[in-house]
Amino acid sequence: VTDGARQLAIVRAMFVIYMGGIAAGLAYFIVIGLTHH
Amino acid sequence: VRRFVRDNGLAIFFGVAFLAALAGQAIAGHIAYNAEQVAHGEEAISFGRYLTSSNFGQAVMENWQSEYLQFTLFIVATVWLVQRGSPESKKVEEAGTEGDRKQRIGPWAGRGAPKWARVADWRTAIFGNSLLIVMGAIFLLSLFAQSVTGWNEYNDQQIQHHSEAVSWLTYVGTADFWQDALQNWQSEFLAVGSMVVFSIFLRQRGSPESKPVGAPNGKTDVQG
Repeated sequence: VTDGARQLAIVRAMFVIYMGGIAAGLAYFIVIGLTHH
Repeated sequence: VRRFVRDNGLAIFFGVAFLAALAGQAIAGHIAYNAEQVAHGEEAISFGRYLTSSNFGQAVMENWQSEYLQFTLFIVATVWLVQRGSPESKKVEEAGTEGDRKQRIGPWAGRGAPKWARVADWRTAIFGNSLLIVMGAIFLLSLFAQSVTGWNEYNDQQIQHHSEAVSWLTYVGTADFWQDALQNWQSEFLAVGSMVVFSIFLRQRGSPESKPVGAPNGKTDVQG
């Protein structure tokens, strides 16, 4: 694995963490709202 | 590890700051919520219960939607609108979506270009607007989340005041909902507008959000 490929894998992981966290947060609060909590 | 932190400083700093501020909001929100409950002669709730409450959800989502609206509008507005002298703007004569050659699409895609930029079909159209699509989707979903959590809160108030509960559609037509949305929007629009205008004449040495300190005030599309 080249250095460039490793760096790209790390920033891709950062992208997935942000995207996944935001999607989870949105889903969490939409469910709370729709289930009348 | 040191290199990882250096290479990803912005994402790590803002991610950690977000989690710390969210935790602080949850703790302060729980205390404030219970103080209100006790003042109305009702029972205090646990921290866990507060984290799954519409009260907490509305407070979080209300701010999310306005931030994502701000960035979504900024992304799309800066395609078509320019500001002479601002480093946030492109050159005055470049307004619009620009040619394929300048955007390095299809035959002009260089080595290392993402596949969807090279294929020059519908995938390129999607990829070419993907930042706007995702930021806009997060705005719409968080606005929806604000509306359903705010709806529950609104109906709780209605019942406490011996009034009828309302439908979701009725709630999104209330002044209550729009006050919550607009009070956040106004501040975002002012902050973006002032950033665009102030950066014509003011500088931050070393920041890509600013022109270089010695760049002329009249120069547009230069980053420090």
